[in-house]
Amino acid sequence: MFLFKSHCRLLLFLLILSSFFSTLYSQGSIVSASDTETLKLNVYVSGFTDIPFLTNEIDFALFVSEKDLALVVIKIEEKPAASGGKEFIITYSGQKELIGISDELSYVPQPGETEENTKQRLATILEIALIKYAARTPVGENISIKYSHTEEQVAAVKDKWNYWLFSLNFHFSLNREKSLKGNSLSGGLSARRITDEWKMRANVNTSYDENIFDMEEIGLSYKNITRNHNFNGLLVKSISDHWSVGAFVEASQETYYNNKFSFELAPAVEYNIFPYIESERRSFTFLYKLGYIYRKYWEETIYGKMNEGLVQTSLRADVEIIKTWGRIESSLTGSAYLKDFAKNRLRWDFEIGVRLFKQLTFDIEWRVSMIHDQIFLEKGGASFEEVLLRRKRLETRYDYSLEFGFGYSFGSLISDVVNPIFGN
Amino acid sequence: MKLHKNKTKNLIMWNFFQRFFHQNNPIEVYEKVNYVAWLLVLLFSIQLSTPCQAQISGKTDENSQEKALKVFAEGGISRDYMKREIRFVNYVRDPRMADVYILITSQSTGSGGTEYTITYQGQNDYEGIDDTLKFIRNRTDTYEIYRRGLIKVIKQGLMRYVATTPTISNISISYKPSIKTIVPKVDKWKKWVFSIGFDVELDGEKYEKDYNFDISLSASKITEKWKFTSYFSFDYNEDRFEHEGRTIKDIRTRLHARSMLAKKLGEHWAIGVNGNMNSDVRYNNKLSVEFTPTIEYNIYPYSEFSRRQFPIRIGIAFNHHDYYEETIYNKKSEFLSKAFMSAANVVEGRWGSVINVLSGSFYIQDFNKNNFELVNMFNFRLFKGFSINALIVFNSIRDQLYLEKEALTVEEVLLHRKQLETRYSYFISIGFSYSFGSIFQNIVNPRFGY
Repeated sequence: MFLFKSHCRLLLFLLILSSFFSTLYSQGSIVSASDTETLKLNVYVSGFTDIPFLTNEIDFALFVSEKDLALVVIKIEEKPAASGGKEFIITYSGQKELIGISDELSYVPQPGETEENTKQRLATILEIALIKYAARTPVGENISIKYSHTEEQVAAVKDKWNYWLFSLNFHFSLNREKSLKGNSLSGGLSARRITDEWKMRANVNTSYDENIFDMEEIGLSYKNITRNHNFNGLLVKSISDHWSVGAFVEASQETYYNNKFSFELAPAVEYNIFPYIESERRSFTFLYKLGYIYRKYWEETIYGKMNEGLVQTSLRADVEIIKTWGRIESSLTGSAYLKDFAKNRLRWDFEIGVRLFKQLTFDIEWRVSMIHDQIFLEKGGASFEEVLLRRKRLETRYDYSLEFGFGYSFGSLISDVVNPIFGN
Repeated sequence: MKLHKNKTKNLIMWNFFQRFFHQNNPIEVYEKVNYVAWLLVLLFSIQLSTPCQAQISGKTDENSQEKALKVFAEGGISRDYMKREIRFVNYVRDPRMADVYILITSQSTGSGGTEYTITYQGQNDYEGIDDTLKFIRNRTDTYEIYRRGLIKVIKQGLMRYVATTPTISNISISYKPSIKTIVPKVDKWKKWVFSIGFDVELDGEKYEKDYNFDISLSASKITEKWKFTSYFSFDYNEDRFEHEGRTIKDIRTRLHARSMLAKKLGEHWAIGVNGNMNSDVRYNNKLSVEFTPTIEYNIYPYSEFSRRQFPIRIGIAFNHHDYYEETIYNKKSEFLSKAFMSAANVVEGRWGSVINVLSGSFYIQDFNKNNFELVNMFNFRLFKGFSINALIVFNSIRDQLYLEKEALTVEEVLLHRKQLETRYSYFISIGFSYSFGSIFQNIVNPRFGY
């Protein structure tokens, strides 16, 4: 207990001390020369006389007067250019820990360019090409690169295909053992055109899968065939930074859901609380969908149907946040058939992964569904083999999954050794 | 009869394809779009045509993005994140179309972190301008800290290439010197790293429940010369099915412990010893204890391991087995020694990647009890937009000493609870993909989901 208290006091004292010093430092008057030296890239330049100008232009470099002190040696030579006028050849060579890293660039000033302009340009080139050297030292950590551009500029880049991209794929596999056999075949086609204004996507996929068990000695001979065909399309129009409208279209055939043929067309609208441009860091969307569904079944359903047409309404909320301490993802979806609101479903997915302390991580993930809309279920039920091989969707009114875990590690944090013997 | 059946299935599949084709008529749509695109490109090229210069010119361009560096990057980082964070280049869909091809590979470090190697390969006007940078993710770095750090290094490495494009005039570089002095690092843990993990998973619905938990512990110390690692894990898995009033329970427990001490002898050689302890119902393995001295020769130097590797290993495994059930050879336990050899070749580059593994073993007590396996995995980018990939595994199995005498039940077979008797096993999987169309892939549009 005493130990803990004294530690606390020490910590507090250090905290006060460090904040005191940092205020001093931030005023910029007390930074000692030796401190800054360790945090700048030592460079030696020959062929460029105005060193103070370079010092002013290139913040992260310290221009030294002797070659031996430098990590990078730069030589600038002036030569007559082939086209008339002059050309500057800039050669870089690394020293000490940067030995062997060399580079060469050339610069031809435009006709009529002033001396002052040329000097400025040369300084820019010197700086840009020095970054790859700085990136190899701790100096790189403090360099940031900004690009001034507009979204339109980036988006305007296109070629003769006008953003269209098509692809096709095909896949085949087989496996054999004495009593097991498997064959599978799949293929797909896709077309898409994605711009900031529009998003269009269409996919066709088809697959065939068979597994054969053949063990006469125990009286087992069973063939498991799965066939899936699917077409899906998406069309989205951007309305603003927060709103979009569009439609989903889907047609499919599956074994698992007693689905001989189904077709769905669903107009939808989406609202994002955060601007879409931040989606790689955070998004919070609400998607409302109103869809017409037509279904044809392989087997008669528990409601005595061989086919039916339905209208389904659904609302989905999605959150995703990525921060330095971890990430959170959550999704809540509710849907119901308009004809009979009691045929509904609610599903909640949640996932969080955080670093609780420096070396302790915690992850939890769950999914909970309340299911009251399994209108596709077969009257005949499923056979024993179909159950064990998870071949058919079984009747249930709920469905859950929970996963969590802790990870704790301790020990050395500063060993960057890579030793690949006997694998990683 | 079977063949005939398959044929009809294929026919149905093709009809299905055709139906959708006709409904959409993508060819017509595409032709119209293409015509308009050509007109636009024509207009643009009249407006903006300036001679392309490899050298740095003093002139700045109005629409510099059009001439920005063309990049193809793979490995290590999410492409969408990179597109959002690095906007001063154009992204293309095939490495052959790029001015710079970036490959990011990784290896683990002594302190349980990851070392990323970023290789830049210049093409077209940048032929011969190559570079390699490193970035280290500490084991305590979260996803966000790691991706921010890695993208920063990728960006810095791109500067050399961007220097000769018009985009450079819109780039500004700032330097914020940090105040902290560099303290010499003292490692009080002497390179030791320990970790503990615990995971639980529960799934359920009316007729099927699934419970799973596992625990793992590890300790390691890795230096330039030596490598000591040890790992222990235990996992319990229970599946329950209910069918017509009957409950089928499938329980699988696995225990795995291993420890290794190895020493590097130069750039190509290493020696080591392994200790293993295993228990697994699927292999009728109540407990096996194994001790394995091994020697390794790597054809390429170890320093190139993240790009290409070809280690060849030879060793002997001394092994004691306790079985759950009596085996077909009437054993409840036995002591065996097995000689083994393996060679693995892994190479990755702009053209694709290849993994070849050949391994073989035999029991010293009985040479006829042997096992040979060949694994081939490749992905070739044959030409622009076209790639072919395959996984081929051939395994000749003559060493299933663990097989149970008693016949298996139907459940055990269907649930893949027990390994089946066989003298061979092979798996062949071949796929290809082809894409054509716009070469630029700059836009990230997250609306209605990715």
